[in-house]
Amino acid sequence: MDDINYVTCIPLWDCLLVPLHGDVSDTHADELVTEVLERIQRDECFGVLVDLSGVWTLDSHLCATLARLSLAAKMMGAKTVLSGMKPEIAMTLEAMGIELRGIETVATLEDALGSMGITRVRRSRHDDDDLVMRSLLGGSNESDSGAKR
Amino acid sequence: MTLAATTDDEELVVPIANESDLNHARMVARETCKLVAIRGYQAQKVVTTVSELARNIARYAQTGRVRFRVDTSDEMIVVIAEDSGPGISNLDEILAGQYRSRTGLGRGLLGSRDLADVFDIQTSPAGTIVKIAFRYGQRKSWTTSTT
Ligand SMILES: Nc1ncnc2c1ncn2[C@@H]1O[C@H](COP(=O)(O)OP(=O)(O)O)[C@@H](O)[C@H]1O
Ligand SMILES: [Mg+2]
Repeated sequence: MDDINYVTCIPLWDCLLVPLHGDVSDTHADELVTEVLERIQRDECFGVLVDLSGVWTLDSHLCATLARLSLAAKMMGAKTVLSGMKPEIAMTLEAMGIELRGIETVATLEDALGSMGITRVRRSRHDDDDLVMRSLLGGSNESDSGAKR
Repeated sequence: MTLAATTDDEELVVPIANESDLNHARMVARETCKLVAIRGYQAQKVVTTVSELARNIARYAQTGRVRFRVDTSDEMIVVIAEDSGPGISNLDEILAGQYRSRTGLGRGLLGSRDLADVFDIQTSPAGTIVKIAFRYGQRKSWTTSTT
């Protein structure tokens, strides 16, 4: 049953993106903590983004595990941010009086990235047009890398 | 996946022996919600409560079971978590919110009581029985669309 529940850690610059999904078993949650902490040390990560968009249920045990992960990561110099919690899960936790104390929780993955200081910079249309023009007007050899996006 | 549980009349019984059985209990809880067409927060309450009670059995009583039943006349999902573990000697303290858990967040029982529409617990040195129920019928609210 746990075969599909492998831990996915996606390196994202100096952060780790950890999407959780489905029914997160205790074993899976424990593996996750170990894997993330190892990766923080090995890859020198400064941030852990745990995305909960695909999680079906969060009970008090999983909350405690996430809090444990966040605390341990903090001691290793990495900040943990949770994102994407479904409204019904947030409502359930609130009704149960469970607080995710000490963990930053944001609505979306964009907010989580923002919290890590990663923001999107969109190149303006104007700049794009310039690049296209330049490549058309034959800055041939440099144009390839220049216009890449 | 199937709802592999012992069926006893119209009751589904999920035996709980260790923490890997929790996935099964949650799955049956989800299927039961589907059966009566509830989802979102309503369903989340049922599944989370089942997860808490089943975990308590696995952790503190070693073996027990969770029984699921749909009461169509009262329009209720009835869940009974029972075990023959050591019982909870400080239940009053726990339910009064004065207990500090060393094993967890200490919100399992209290949280379940807050989420469920009916909550009843009986405990003795011979074991613990927690009975909870959730209404699933159309509520008299401004929500009009039902599926
Ligand atoms: N089925 C049970 N059998 C024996 N003791 C139990 C059982 N369920 C709960 N307990 C006791 O009640 C306490 C409170 O349970 P709970 O509210 O679920 O919080 P937590 O599990 O996080 O400690 C537990 O710490 C445990 O000592
Ligand atoms: Mg508990």
